[in-house]
Amino acid sequence: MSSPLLSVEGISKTYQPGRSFLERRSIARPSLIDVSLALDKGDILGVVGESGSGKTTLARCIAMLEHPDTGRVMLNGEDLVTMPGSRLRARRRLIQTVFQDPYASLNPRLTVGSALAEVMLVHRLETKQGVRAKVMELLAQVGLPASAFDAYPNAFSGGQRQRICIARALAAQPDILIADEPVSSLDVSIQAQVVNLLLDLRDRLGLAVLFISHDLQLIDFIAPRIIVMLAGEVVETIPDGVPIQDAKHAYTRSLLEAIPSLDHIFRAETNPTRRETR
Amino acid sequence: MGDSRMTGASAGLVIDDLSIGFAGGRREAISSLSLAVSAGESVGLVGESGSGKSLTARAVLGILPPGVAVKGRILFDGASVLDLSPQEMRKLRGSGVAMIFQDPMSSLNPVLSVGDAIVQVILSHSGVSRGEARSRAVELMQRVGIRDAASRASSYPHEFSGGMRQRIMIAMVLAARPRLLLADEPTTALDVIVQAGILELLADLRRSEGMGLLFISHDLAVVAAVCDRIAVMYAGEIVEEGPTAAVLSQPNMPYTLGLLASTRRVRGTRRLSSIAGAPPPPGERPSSCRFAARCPLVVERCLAGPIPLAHVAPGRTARCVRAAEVSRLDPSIFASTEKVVHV
Repeated sequence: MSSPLLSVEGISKTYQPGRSFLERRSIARPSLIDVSLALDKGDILGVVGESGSGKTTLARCIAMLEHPDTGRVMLNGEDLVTMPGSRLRARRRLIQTVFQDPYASLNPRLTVGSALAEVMLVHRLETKQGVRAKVMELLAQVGLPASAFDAYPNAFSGGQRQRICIARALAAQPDILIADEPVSSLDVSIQAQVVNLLLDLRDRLGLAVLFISHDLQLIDFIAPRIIVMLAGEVVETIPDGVPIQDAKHAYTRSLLEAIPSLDHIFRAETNPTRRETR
Repeated sequence: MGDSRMTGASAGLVIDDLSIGFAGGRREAISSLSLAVSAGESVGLVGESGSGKSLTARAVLGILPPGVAVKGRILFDGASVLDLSPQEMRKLRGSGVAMIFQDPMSSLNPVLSVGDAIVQVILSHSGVSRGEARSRAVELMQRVGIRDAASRASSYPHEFSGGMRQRIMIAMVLAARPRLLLADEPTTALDVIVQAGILELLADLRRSEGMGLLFISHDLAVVAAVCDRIAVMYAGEIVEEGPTAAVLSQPNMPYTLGLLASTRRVRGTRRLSSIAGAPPPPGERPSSCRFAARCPLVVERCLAGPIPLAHVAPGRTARCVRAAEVSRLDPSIFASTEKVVHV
């Protein structure tokens, strides 16, 4: 059996209490306890849980922005946790992250074109001569106009900025995209556009996607497999083919029950004139 | 909406023909907006970012950015808010009108324990003793879902997570027992269980104290759970208003239908529905229907001139020439927005 693209094996992480006045904390609570997961090319794995459940810590450990205390993060069969820095740097490119706040994660003084070109040049994926054409290609791929090349981030709306962030992640030609609440700060109408873009990119590029969200309905739509996190632990894994409504764990059930729904309005509606249109 | 003048002296909020413009009025952010929230009533204001929801709330609280041009009237319990002196306005804020902001995380005093912060609010708005204020503060903290509230009351803001700070902020605002609460996306950053608790608390306060609620959100399901009536804003205008269940089950405006389509997450469908494009910013808004450029139902009449907000059913208004037809359509008309047909 060949090893999966990404296999996370029993990672744990505890943030040690800081020494400075502002970071003082009485007890160090583990943020991640013995978490395991596997992700293959073209897979989408959903991660749900409340704020503070360890979703983002998990993402940071997989992207090696944070060093897990124990466990292994296996990428193509190699353990990133024990890998020496020089080799790790080259592997890091393969795991890219799109963060929640597209306003905070773009440099306001870099044009979109130079921000994307920088990524390709740093990783030596393109030459200075070829990079412009490649960036243009990328902009088209995420649905941004060519004029975006010379524009600064402040010229763009939240949804467009998130497209820029996605393009920047793709510029590194990753195998894995970690999307950490990528649409939570966007309007519902725009959320749909960005989610559809992620699904298209998965189809076209065969990306593996780790999709983190506190929105159960969105996760259920986008991810065939879902893990549910609570206080740093995976409390439930919902396999492919099982709708989230059939989740068993008490915590998942309480999350489901707390979701406000429009169903009662649609169910109550008895208007016979309503019909499906195309 | 035309009868708003008659309710001028009644309890609650009446916004009458409000327009707010930037750049000397050249870029109009809000156009001729009328909306009322009676005591104990809950009204949802929905729409995309930039539609003017938050600005409307800020106008009611008298905290507009300097240099904006304001036209129209805002009445609270019969008094004209726009004509109040700064002193009178200060008195109104807190126990009269209070607001929960979208991003309250930076609004807490870092050198005051959260319990003391809430106690201060209670003491400045009622004549209770310090001990009484303290126990009320702890109770409020419990109600917004903070565990071990009694011991956590002596903690400082930096010792809480972002979501907890937001809940403390909510507790602080409610401590003043406002008669009208303006809540701007109060639960968007919180997880669903905490959200459910806060929505219940708001409902309780409406019932027990007759608090009016103007609830700004882009989450239609939350609005449906909280609000008696809903007003949908698009590009600075109200485009549809009416009882929440009626509007959401049979919208009279394609934009409302598009918002509904975007929230439908049906497993098995390949893509989410979305409304293609983006709303026009102030200064670039057409004089005809502002939604026309994104509307799958657009016809020539839509582009001919301004579309009035018309009565379409008892208690319901909509700004659409095809309102009657729209109510018979299904949100799935937005399913393939790539194939928008322009007439």
